[in-house]
Amino acid sequence: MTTTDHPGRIPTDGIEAVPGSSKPDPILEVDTMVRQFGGLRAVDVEHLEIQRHWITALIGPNGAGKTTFFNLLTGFDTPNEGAVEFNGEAMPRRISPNKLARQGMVRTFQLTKSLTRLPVIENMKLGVKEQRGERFLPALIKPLWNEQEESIEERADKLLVRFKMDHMRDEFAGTLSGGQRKLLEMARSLMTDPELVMLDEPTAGVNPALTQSLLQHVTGLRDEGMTIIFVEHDMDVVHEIADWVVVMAEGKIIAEGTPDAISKNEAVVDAYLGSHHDSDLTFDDEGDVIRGDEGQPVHDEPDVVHDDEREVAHDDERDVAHDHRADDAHNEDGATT
Amino acid sequence: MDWEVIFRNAILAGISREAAVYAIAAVGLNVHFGYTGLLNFGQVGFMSISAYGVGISITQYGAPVWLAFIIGLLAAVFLALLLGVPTLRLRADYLAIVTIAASEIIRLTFRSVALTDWSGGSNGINGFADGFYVWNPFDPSVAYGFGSVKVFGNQAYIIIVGWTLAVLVTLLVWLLMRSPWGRVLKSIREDEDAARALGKNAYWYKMQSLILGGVLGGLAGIVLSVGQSTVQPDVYSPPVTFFIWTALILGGVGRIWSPIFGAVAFWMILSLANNVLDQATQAGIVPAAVTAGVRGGSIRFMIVGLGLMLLMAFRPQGVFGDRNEMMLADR
Repeated sequence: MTTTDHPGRIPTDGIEAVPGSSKPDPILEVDTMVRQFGGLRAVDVEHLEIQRHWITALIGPNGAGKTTFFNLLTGFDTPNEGAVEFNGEAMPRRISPNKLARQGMVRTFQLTKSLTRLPVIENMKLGVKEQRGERFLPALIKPLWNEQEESIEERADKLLVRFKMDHMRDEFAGTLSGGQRKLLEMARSLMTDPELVMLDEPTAGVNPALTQSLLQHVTGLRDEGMTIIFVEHDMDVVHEIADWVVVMAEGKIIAEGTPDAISKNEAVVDAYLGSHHDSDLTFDDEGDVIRGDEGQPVHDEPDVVHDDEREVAHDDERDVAHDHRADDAHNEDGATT
Repeated sequence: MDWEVIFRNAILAGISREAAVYAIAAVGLNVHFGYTGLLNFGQVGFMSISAYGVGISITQYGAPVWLAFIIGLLAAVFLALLLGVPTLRLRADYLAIVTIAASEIIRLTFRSVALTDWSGGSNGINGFADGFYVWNPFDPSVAYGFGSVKVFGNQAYIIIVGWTLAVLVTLLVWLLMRSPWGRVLKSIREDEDAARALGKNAYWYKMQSLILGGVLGGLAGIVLSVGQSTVQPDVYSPPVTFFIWTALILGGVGRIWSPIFGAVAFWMILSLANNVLDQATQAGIVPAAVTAGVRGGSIRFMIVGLGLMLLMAFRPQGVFGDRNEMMLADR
């Protein structure tokens, strides 16, 4: 694996660390993007630019609208207002995910979507765009697509070796562990030759060892010239690999900057990661956890409160909205369920 | 008990034109459900619209047989588009609701009094199949077969045509499912959003699947109506859809040969249950009161139903299915 920087990757110095700051070479631009669920503005982003060849982390408490924003960017949900400019080209407000994927924007999902009853290798081969054999009539005549299929298979095998999954090649994807599925999903998305890779919580539920190799793969992709946006909860991970961090809260982008700058940003840290995120928990007289500067007791079990869970307290309402969204994504034309 | 009669009838049922018809329709259903995950509970609707397409274009418009067959199949394409356009963007359950309703709407429309002049009302359309039997190489008055398993010429003709078509469409589906096209269908079955995230136009592939499976259903309907030389609305009622489902599940969902196997097995089992019961009654093993009148027919379905329940309990993946693979779907 190459460890040399991609020449196009510029340093972060001199980029203004304010929400909506302009970047010299954005691959993705968003202007006034709004997604409303009833009275709730789940996403309300004024302006955002994602620099090419960087790894950009998208962080924020649960219910901040990160996944909804991801869905809007990738076409799985349609914004009420605003649209995406990808590679300098304005995309229509209502665009299907498959069209965006064909333009070079690929995503993974928070809840891994492995194709359980297809072998790992078939999962991989599916990723390739513009396959001749995917058209109905040519599909009937193997000589028309066999050559392409063989080269696809060769490529898929190479990627599987790189992701250390070649021993699982012919197993059903459903037999993989949760972490392996995350790897497979990432490897599969690379088969599409993406320019922009969007990872929704790539390390959630993955053990520390596998997380490390996953993160190496992510930085490897950047060094090959891809641009990466990922949603993450773990600040250590963000520190380790992100070039730039975008912080969302209540649907808005409240801060941008390098990981160091963001973790020194008092407002972000206090309000969205909990002011005690790097210190031990403190307890009041009754043994309840004191959290953040609100000083409100939390009703979680005191000994299992992690950063993530502390964030859960924000509002359940928004999570419900997320669920509705998931349904809407299926019903593109907005039919309610 | 006369076992020879029992087995002869079972074989005749297994190779019957009904079995061939069910096999063809089940191949279509397998494309829908087995490979794409589409829940079509109205396969009989595709059968009837094609059968009527043939019947009406011959009797009303004097179309030649070959043209009538094409019109019949185009009617199935039309129905697939009609059902697919509004529902395929929605979740799978919507298609299920719409297909079962549509198949009944089609039946009730064709049998309606207002359309009697056109579609023959509840009597249906008769005598349109002569053009097809012109090509019959067999003598209608001679019984063909081997041993005591014999059928008359017209029957032999339709059986051979039916099973040839069943094998051909099975091969067609096999060719498609080993291709990247088939891989896209299967990926949609597993997770539509994953397929879309990888740039596949899931809606269009589901539409292609619905059309292909629907046309195969239509082909089955044409074989049935031509074989019976008549198309009657009540032949195409919802239970047919569920018998076709039964045949498919019996063989194993998402397997190439399971529709043919399942259709043969379904008709043989039905015939066995019927004839064993008959013979046992005649031999005095079963009291005549049990099977008197219509009860015999009901009991035969009870026996078949019991058999299916046992199959589901002990071999839920069907005869050809892979249990491990099936269990993965629930994880």
